Amino acid sequence: MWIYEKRLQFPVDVKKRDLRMAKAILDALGGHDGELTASMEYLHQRYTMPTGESMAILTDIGTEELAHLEIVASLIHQLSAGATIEEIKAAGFDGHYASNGIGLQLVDPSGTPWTSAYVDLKADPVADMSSNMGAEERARAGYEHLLDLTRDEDVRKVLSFLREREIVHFQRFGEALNHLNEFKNHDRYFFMDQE
Amino acid sequence: MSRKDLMTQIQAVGIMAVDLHLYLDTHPQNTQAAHEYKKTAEHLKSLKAQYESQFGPLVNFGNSSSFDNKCWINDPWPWERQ
Repeated sequence: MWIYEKRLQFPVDVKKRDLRMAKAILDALGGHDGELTASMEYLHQRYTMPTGESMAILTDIGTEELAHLEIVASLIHQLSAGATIEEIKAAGFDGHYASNGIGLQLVDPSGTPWTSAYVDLKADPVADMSSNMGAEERARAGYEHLLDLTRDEDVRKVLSFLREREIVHFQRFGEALNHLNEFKNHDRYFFMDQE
Repeated sequence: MSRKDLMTQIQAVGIMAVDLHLYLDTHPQNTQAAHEYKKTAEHLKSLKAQYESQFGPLVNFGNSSSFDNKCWINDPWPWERQ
C-alpha cells in the first residue's frame, strides 16, 4: 500500500502568477512523458519482473514519480490560482477554462487527454527496462524545454530539481538493465511460463 | 525552529534518503552506502518526530504516534501557497 505524507518532496513557493507557464507545465502532468505516465508505467511493469532488484527499483522510482506528480500539480496550481478572466484570455487559457475552470485536468498543453496508451509495457524485462531509460531522457528533455520558457527563479528551481532526478533515475534503470541482461544470460528462461 | 525551517530540513534529508535508497536498490553490496543510508534514515526519523510533536501529523492511517485530526484537516496542505 501507499502512505500519504502531508508534505512536498521539494518545496514549491511561487509568488508570481503566470498562466502561460502553468499551461506549458501541463506537459509534465498529463503529457506523453509526464509524471503520471512515468509513475503508472513503472508501478505496473513490476508484476512481470524476474528479480527482486528490478521489482525494488520500479517500486521505489514509481513511488518517487508519484511525489513528482504532486510537485508538478502544486506548481501549476500556484501559477494559476486566483487568475482573472482577462489573464485567462490573455494567456490562451480560455479553452482549458471553458472545459475545466482552472482545475488540474490531466491533459497536455494542447488539451489532449492523458491516455494509458502512453504507458510502455511489454512484460519483457529487458524491453521494459530499456524503454524506461528512454522515458527518463524524454522527461529530462521536457524539463529543459520548460526551463527555456521561464526566468522565474521560484519556478526554475523546482523544474531543475525534477530534471536532476530524471538523470538519477536514468542511471539506476541503466544499472538495473545490466543486471537483467546478466540474469538472462544465466540459462534462465524467465520469459516462459514455468511449471 | 519554525515550521518552515523544520520542513525545509525534512525535505533536504528526505531527498538524501530517497537517493541513497535508490542507489542501494542497484548496489545492495555497498556497505558504505548502507551505512550512510542508516544514518540518514535515523536523522530523518528524529526530524519527523520533532515536527509531529510541534506541528501535527505528517502521515495518515495510523502511521503517526499522535494523530490530531484537527491539525490534519485544518493546517495548510502541501500545494497551498505559503
